[in-house]
Amino acid sequence: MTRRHVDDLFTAAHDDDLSPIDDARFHAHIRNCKDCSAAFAEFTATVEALHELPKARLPRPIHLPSTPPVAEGSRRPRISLDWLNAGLLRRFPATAIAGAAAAVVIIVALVHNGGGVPGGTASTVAGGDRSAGQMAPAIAPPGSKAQDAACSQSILPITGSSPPASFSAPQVITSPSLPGAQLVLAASALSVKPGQTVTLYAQLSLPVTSLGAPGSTGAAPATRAVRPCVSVGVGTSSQVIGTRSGTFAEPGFGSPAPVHPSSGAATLLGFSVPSGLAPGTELHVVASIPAGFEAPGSPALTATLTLTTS
Amino acid sequence: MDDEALLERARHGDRDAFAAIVTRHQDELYTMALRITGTPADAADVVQETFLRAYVRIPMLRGQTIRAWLFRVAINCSHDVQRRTVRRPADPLEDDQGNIVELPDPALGPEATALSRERMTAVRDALLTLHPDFRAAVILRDVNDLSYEEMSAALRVPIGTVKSRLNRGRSTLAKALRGTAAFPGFAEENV
Repeated sequence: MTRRHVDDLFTAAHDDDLSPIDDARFHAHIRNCKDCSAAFAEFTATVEALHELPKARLPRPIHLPSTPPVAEGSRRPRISLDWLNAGLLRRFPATAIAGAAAAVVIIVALVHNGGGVPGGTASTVAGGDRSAGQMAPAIAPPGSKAQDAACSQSILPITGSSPPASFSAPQVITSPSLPGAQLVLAASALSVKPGQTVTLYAQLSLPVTSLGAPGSTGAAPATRAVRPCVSVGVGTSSQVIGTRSGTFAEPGFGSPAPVHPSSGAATLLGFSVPSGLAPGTELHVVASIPAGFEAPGSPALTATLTLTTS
Repeated sequence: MDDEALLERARHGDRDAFAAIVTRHQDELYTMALRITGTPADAADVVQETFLRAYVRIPMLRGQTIRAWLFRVAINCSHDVQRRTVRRPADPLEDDQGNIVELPDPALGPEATALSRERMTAVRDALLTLHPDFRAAVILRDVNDLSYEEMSAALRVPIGTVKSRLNRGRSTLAKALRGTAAFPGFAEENV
């Protein structure tokens, strides 16, 4: 048995994975070969040192979608950030870009020919920042009927909550035309890395109009909450990455850290920052409520956040 | 309740069952990711990403061991992180900020504690010099105590390849520790 052969058997010998015959030969060689004996002693000491490495504890909460796991699977046909970022774009970037360009051309052609955007498709990518109409012709400009209709489809009633305490300074948008209404947008981080999962908080709180009991006072005004239409754009191209209806994250989940008492479930949603973005690239997050959503003539509300890649 | 039962309940929409899976595995995944990436922040990102991926793919998971599958996803995420991050040496201050549970053994005296810490640092740094395939094998086996079968599933390679990578990784690590102050016996006997 040569020195090289003994080296190859170190793991098997250490893990008691040698056959009885090989084990006997191995130890016979070790007894007679000083170099191999020393090398095996080093090997064993190294493995023991590895076992001495301490276990670590996850220092921060895991954020997970609040919708049932099976619900996400059934929504696979919808355009989602995971599909765009982790799948096609990562594995076949040229094909993905070419396919997207072809889709844009077809949709533009349909729109120009009066065919319109097929119903339901636009709802998953509705939104976009204020320059969307100029930079991406396939996406209707904010305030247009097409976009408003699409955006409205993704606005859902939710359980009201406050932004998690660890989130960035929330953008709070109000309007004199909608007393008591408040559109709030915040992110788990403003400086992000490509591939990082970012959690967004987006909520529109609206006062509930009800007939109070005569003479009743002191009760806090009731509110209801909806999740606005949310989109994420990269850089100045106003490319809409998409929205993730129904895939929200809940803070404090399974965490050893204290859970923020007012953190809600359905107001949070997550997206992955696309890989390959250069440092300093800006991602624009837009939460919007189209005009006329609350009542005929009610104004549009838009809150924006800018995230920067590091 | 074992993982398979929890996974079955999670497939039927039980979030609490998935929460139990998270609670059960988050620390061991973090430990593995920390040893692969060498950075607590990156390791925490890896675990977050792993569970997000697991959550959306639960309906598709059939006949798989969730633990091995989680490790596989975490390894891939760790390698993704490493590819896009310029490696920097682990910051010792990070240990003192509560990110890592590396408490000294109270039974050891100050000198022994310092030596133990020095050995841990040497091993931790040497791990980061290994080829990613060998590093993953060594960490899964000797840090996370996975069986060969679990390692084979996590690394998606035959058991024979697992053993080969493990042997190469351990041997390379032993050589990397030669000459370090924390392992003086290595240098004396084999240089």
